[in-house]
Amino acid sequence: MCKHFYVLIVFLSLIGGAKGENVETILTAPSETATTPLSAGDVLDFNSIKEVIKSDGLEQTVIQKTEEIKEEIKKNKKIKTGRYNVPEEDQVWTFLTEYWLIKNAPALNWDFTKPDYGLDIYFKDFLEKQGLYEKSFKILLINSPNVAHFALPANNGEYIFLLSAPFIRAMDLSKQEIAILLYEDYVRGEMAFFKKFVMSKELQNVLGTNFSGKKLDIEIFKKVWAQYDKLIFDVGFNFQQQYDVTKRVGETLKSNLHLWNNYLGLLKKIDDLVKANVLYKGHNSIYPSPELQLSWLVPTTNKDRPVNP
Amino acid sequence: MSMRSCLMAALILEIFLGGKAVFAVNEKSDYIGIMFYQKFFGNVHQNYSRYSATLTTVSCGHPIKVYKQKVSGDAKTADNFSDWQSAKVGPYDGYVLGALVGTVRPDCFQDQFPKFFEQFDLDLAELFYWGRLYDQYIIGRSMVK
Repeated sequence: MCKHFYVLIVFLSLIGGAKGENVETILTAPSETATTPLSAGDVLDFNSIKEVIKSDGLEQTVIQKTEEIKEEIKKNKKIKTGRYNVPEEDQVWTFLTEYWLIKNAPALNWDFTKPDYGLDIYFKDFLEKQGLYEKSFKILLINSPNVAHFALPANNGEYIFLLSAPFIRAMDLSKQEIAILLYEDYVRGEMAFFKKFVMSKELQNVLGTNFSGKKLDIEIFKKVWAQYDKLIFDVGFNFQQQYDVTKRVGETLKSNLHLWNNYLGLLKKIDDLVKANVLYKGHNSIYPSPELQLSWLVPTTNKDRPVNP
Repeated sequence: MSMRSCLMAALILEIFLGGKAVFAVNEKSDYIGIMFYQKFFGNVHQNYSRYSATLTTVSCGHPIKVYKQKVSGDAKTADNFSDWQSAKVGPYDGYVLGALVGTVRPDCFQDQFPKFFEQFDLDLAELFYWGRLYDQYIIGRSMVK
């Protein structure tokens, strides 16, 4: 019997030890100091623990956490809304130009096997000799007489040059003459005639905006591409613009007489071609006109000086 | 033929074929690393030529596994060989123009303005043509000497 009592005492002490209590506590009746559990009808008075919460800094933590969540929600909303951004003007040109090139691939016929003319290296050297550094360019040879040559705008001051392979073959142009032709297009591009022509007020208003929750008016962009068509295939540049370009190119090339003479030779070749070849009859309406350009460049006597536009 | 000889034959065949496959991979190329396609869209070609068959079209920022080229002497002297990178995109082993890939993931127009780009609803043929455009470009940049 005694043996059994000791075993019971050891067992109870083990349980009590695990709970961090004394065996006496377990064996005796519940103490008077023990808290009475709340019944359903009782109200918990939070005011009594307000000071404790304050001293623990819990209120501050709640405010901080709420701010963090608000910030996170705001950030996510900004990211979500940002997906509906429309590019700024300086970010949109490459997209507009390349999309137009893809849509006009059949008319321009740029997807063809062509020889390597070494134009990348030659034109790069040419630009460097003119003091034009850090200028990016892309040249796209086209197998069509529809467009003889053209500089289309791209982002970051870059140009996409269209150059007709039949056009340069018909005149048997040298690399230097091709580079001068591209340089003339570059000067025309820098004068921003093209950008001014295709840029509409509607497009300016939509660029750099956000169309979240609204519908983006695609027609605005279609009108821009229609302007591309109009300028490149149809109306071209006016006399004043052409005069400004010719004078600018003439001035910069005059410091190197060899280049200047080659520029005159190039214009003469183009003049002969457009007069003789029916395929390039429309060239004069796009770039008026090689004959006039020559007269603007070559010093003349007062008697036969052409009237400036 | 006994069972034992059959197993031996199978084992020899396995070693022979396995060894040959490993040898073929090593002979073709050594893995360099991942590069990212830098332009709007581009094509992976079967050979190192702008005019060779297109295996697949990749969009801006697409990761491309690039390998060191180990090909015969004739190919090394071929035109524009150095302009190309031996590449693996998905299941396709081909070539991409070196000027169009870079080690840093670019800030792509499609990622910057995804919803704007979606509005134009480009079809697959147009995406392919966009890649062709970059095949056809003669790209250059003047530099300060």
